[in-house]
Amino acid sequence: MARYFVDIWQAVSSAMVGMSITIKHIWKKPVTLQYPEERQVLSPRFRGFVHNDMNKCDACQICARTCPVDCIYIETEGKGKDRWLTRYAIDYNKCIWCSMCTEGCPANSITMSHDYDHSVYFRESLVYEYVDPTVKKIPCHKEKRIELGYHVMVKPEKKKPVEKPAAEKPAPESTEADDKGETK
Amino acid sequence: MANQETKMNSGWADQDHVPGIKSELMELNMGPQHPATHGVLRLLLETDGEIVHKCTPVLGYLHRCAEKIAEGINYKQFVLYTDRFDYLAPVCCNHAYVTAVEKLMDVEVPERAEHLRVITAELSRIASHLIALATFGLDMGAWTPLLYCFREREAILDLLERIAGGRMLYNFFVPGGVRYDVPDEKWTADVLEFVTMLETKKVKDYNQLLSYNKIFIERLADVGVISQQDAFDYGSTGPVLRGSGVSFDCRKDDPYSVYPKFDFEVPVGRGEMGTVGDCWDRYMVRVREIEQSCRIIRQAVDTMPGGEVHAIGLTKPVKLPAGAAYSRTESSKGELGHYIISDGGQMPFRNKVRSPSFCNLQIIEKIGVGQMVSDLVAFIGSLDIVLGEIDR
Ligand code: SF4
Ligand code: SF4
Repeated sequence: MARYFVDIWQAVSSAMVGMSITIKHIWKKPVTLQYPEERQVLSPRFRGFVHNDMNKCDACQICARTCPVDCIYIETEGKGKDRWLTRYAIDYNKCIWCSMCTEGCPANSITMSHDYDHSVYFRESLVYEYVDPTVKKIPCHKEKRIELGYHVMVKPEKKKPVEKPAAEKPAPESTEADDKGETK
Repeated sequence: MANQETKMNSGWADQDHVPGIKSELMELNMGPQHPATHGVLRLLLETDGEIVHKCTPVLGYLHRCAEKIAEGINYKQFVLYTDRFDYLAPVCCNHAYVTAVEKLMDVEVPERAEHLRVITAELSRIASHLIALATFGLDMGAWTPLLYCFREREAILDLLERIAGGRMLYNFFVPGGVRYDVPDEKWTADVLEFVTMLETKKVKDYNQLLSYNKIFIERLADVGVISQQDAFDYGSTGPVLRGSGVSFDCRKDDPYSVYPKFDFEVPVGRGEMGTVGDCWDRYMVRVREIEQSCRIIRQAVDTMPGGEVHAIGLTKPVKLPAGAAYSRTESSKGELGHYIISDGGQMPFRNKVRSPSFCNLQIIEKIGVGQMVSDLVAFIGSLDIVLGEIDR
């Protein structure tokens, strides 16, 4: 009999201890965010939708090969100097935001942005096309790129001091090429 | 009262109470979409009233062919599939895989990378255990701890987001190190601050709210008792094994990474509220492991050396010599092992995963029998399974 009342007492008192913790929380600041109005502060390394600066990309295909789920589609036409990039698309139905494509890119063209809330009505619209071949094609060959004012990666390897480094200075003039940016 | 209990336990089905009326066991589907089965677990129950007579887990609803996929992609790409095994503690799963790859690869992992691995893996373990407490409490009807545990987990996710970039699936480890160094000096300070806060305030809160609540104890003491022998027989590991009073932890007994450098205890079930190996013991092992993980993190942060964080770089492909390696690590659910057979190329010939939840779940066939359906829910909650890892 005594056990019975002790049990009741313990149940009530331990519930009260828990209750007091809950009640303390009434005066605390809420930790939730009212999502569409309030946004979380994202860290610089946050991996959102992939962004490709089409001015820098020269269709080297490294990102497509690194992607573990094969969701980057790159199509080119022509050969040699006359090679053009006609399609660069990322299929966000498949993308898993792993950021592996950004690591190998020699031109630093592909990066992870901070967008995370795109929504579309159809699954097909999640295949984002970065180039519209009817508007323009992007040259892949280095000389052609310099000629048309696209960004060209200056080779970072400088193992031996090469004499006359000022043979070509292709990189800086990217101002007028900016408007040829991506058609997302 | 006693009379009623014996009647319930013996059951109506196999008795001929009323001549001419035949009674039989009822088949009951629990899941796959059931809030108490923690994912898409389907249990095929044969019940007699409230008593379970047979309990068969049916698996495969979340099967994604991870082992087969591993044979078709290279070693670096598979790391992010391991994230998806145990999505509550992805870093622990990464750890198991890269340890196996590194065994074959013959590479010296930088000390700083090992420390970062330990810190993130332990943070991940804490996050996983918090979910375990939260959902277990929820199964038992306690709603408040769920919210508090998720709040603390959110802080962990923020910390991991700052270092790894993802909030849930981090893809943080690479064979030979980790992907990034700490983002800034403040990160380590924030980790220490969080750990201290968790240790001093929050664990105490959970204990008062849930662990030592009399109603909670009464509900769980002596329910779903796994004896030591059963735990051995069914190959249980992790908190399920330790809840039965066996002190076995891969971090201590088969050390990997830099765990031998740290000083921590392995909490085991002691049967404080009932029998050794009951649901409350398994629950309490997890609470105590949170404290131990905090200890490990603090030591790892304090002794973290400087230097590189990856030995072979991020872009270089990983090529393993022909051979086989098995590594076992302690994930938050138990012993997670990867067996890799390499034929000398960039992809494995075979990659077998020994997942702890899969082995821990099997015991339900034995312990589940003879319990009430409602106790079965408590039992599943205390096993803390995650279906992504069972089905892979
Ligand atoms: S983030 Fe990953 S999945 Fe997405 S496109 Fe890049 S490599 Fe492919
Ligand atoms: S790796 Fe970079 S440069 Fe090469 S195709 Fe991809 S985005 Fe373009």
